[in-house]
Amino acid sequence: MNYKCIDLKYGKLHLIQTKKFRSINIKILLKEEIKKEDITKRNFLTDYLILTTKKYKTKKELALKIQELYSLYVSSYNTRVGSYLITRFNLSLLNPKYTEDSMLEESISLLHEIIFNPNVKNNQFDTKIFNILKHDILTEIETVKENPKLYSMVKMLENMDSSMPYAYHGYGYLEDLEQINEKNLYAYYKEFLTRSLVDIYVIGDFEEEKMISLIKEKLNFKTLKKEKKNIYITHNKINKKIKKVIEDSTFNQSKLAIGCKIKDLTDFERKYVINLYSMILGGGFNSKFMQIIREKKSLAYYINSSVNKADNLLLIQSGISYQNFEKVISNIQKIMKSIQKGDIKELDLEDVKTEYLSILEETYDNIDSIVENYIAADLLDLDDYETRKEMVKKVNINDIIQVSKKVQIDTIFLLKGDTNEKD
Amino acid sequence: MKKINFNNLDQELYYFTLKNGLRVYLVPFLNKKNYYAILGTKYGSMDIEFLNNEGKKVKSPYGTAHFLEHKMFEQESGVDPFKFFSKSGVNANASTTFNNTRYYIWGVNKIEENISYLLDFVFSPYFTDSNVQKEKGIIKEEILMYEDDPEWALDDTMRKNLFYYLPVKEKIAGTVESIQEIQKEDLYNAYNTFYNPSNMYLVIGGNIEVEKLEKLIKNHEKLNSIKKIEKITRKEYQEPSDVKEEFKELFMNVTVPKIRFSTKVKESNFQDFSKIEINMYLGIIMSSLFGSTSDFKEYVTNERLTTGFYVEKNNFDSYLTIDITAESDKADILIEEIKKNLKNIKIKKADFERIKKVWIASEIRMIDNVELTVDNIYSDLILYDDVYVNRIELIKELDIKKLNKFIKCLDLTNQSLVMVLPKNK
Repeated sequence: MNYKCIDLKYGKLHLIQTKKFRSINIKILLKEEIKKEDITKRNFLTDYLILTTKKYKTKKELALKIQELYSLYVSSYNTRVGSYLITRFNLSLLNPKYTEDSMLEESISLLHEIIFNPNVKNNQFDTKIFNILKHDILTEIETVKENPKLYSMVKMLENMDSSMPYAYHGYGYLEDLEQINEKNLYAYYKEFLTRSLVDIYVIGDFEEEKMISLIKEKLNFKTLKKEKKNIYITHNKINKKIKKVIEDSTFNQSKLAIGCKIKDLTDFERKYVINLYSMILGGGFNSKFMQIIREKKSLAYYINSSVNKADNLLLIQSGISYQNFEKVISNIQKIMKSIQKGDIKELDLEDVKTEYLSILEETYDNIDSIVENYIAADLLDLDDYETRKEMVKKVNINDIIQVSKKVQIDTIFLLKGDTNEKD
Repeated sequence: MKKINFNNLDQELYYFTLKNGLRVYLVPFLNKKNYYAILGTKYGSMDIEFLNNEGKKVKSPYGTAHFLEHKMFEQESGVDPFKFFSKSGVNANASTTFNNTRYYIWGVNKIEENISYLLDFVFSPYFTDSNVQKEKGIIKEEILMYEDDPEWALDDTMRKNLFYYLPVKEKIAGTVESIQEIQKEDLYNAYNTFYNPSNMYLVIGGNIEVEKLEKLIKNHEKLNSIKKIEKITRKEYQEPSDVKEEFKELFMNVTVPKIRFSTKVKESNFQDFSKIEINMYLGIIMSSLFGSTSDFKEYVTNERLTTGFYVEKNNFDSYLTIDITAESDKADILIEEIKKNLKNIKIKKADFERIKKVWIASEIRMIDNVELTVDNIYSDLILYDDVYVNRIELIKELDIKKLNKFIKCLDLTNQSLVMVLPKNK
């Protein structure tokens, strides 16, 4: 594998050469500081761009073109990472070795068409398609309540601090949706293209010169380079007394979401120790949560923890019966305290390190995870593959104990199941 | 051990059968670090009534296959299989469907030790009154979790609508009530019948050395000590062609109504077609009628008749179902459109050829992925009892005349509808 980063006028081009795969993938990332009022607009915009273009007016026409190019995979979506909103356009094509020589250029041209040549007339987007999409997005926002796992997590984060980016709804807001029309969305599109930082990642087996010139020709963004802002979110205050919120629902099962704030990690802790700590706590079947709360006490089918580095949060989720709520909470607290007191075996740490290394190695078998690794390293300022392999081995029990003291439960949210539930 | 080439794409498949009947498939990848292995048995939630290993007729409570899958992870030795695998950073999991139960591991380290242990633990049942009792609490939470999910409710209710007798009409995990009935004897009856190597497959792919694995499997003590069962007798069901119920509505936590529209199709209607041909031609028809380039899709999108629309094909024993799922607040109109679209099916030559091109491209991509390749081999074995390594050729051979003949045999009139409506309205 061979990595090369080239400066473009508007951002960076990252080229990853490898002969391991039969496809070539291109990912374009456009990022800027997140504003709550941008989220719904941005979701609308990225959906619109991928649904219709000047040349391929309807979804059907575009789908036909995509299939003609040997079934390209084209997608777009938005994510929030810390204080940034990131829009992605992804393209995956079969290596032209297996199809036709012209496919590389044709595929990139289609990506150009999607991003730079939207379906616009009289300075506004197409009304018919706009309305179809608006209806879809409205449904999507309204149906979040149907997903108790997602809904409980969203409500927990809102209760933690509704003014912080981590509490923003990634799926958008109804009141913002109402304000969007064909005209102002087009105006937003033009703005968006000029103010985002751009990174383009290309991975596969390709001719470098040809690729660079195609990218320069077809993906010519106009952004001026901007200063990078800090992506990490830090916490000013942590609730001394845990905030506990219970909301009624008519689901059978109660859904538990717990948010823990992480404070003052050192660089080493942020890059390595916090991952291992979360893996020991609730990272899988062998984690303390699963072994004690599921296997020993039969209180849940699943209970897990995960780290959101950019937000400095550790999140815990489980599905439980309401009558076991207090029992589950006290077990979680007991487990977290026991680690702080040093109740952790050398063997447990060795196991999660092996798992960490194994996951790291496996990412190199999948074309997408390789790119995602480069992206994450760049966004979050993480180490490269080789360094990570060496550094994670250095984590010791004391490091885990120190980190465990920097993680504190802040907010507990329970979406309470119907108490008439079956026993 | 024999060797065949995979779709002429420099990818080899090795296979052999043990004396006790276990069929083994090995796919070495040249440029991967990881490996993925599935050990599976043709035993799932629908295998309720059968003759046990003493020839006695038995009937298990619903949910026994899934319960048994959970209990395989408790070993008499006290070793926890998940813990064992995780020592070398390897993951393990298992899943149960209507017609099979699979145990699978994936990772990068110590392949021989881990394959050997996979065979050890799946061939070492240990069921006691107390460990069976303990599992009931965990599985109850699992069932409650699924019961809250409208898509699961559509699935479960539709199968109840479609089938009179075939036990696929029941939930895979059983119900909160039925799992209370499960005793260790039920688990042993099922285990001793269906977890026989002659009823099982082992598929391993990725960064593997085939000769070493062949030796390991052929010399595995526990595995090779098990004697072959010549014949497994399952109850046969006289399932009618029509559907049991044509309609059912449910009330759940949804904002927009969700629908499932299914048709029940009997395989024996297609006398001149092999099982794989039936599946492929039906796949072509579904893509062309409901896919992203269909007139239907364009119409329902433009008229805002639906969001979240998708179509699947499922195989249940000697039946196929075409299952359409959609969100819609104009369900009546949408269903009329679906019904209209299923009548007088005509496929254009250009559409037919384009779908073939798309399928070939996805076959080539598939071989970049160890998990997908292994999964597809395993699925072929469960469905066809054979592996189709020449898929690309089969796709190329699909023929429009044969398709038209197929359409003539296709009876899509056995239809059923399930709707999930908002609770509060």
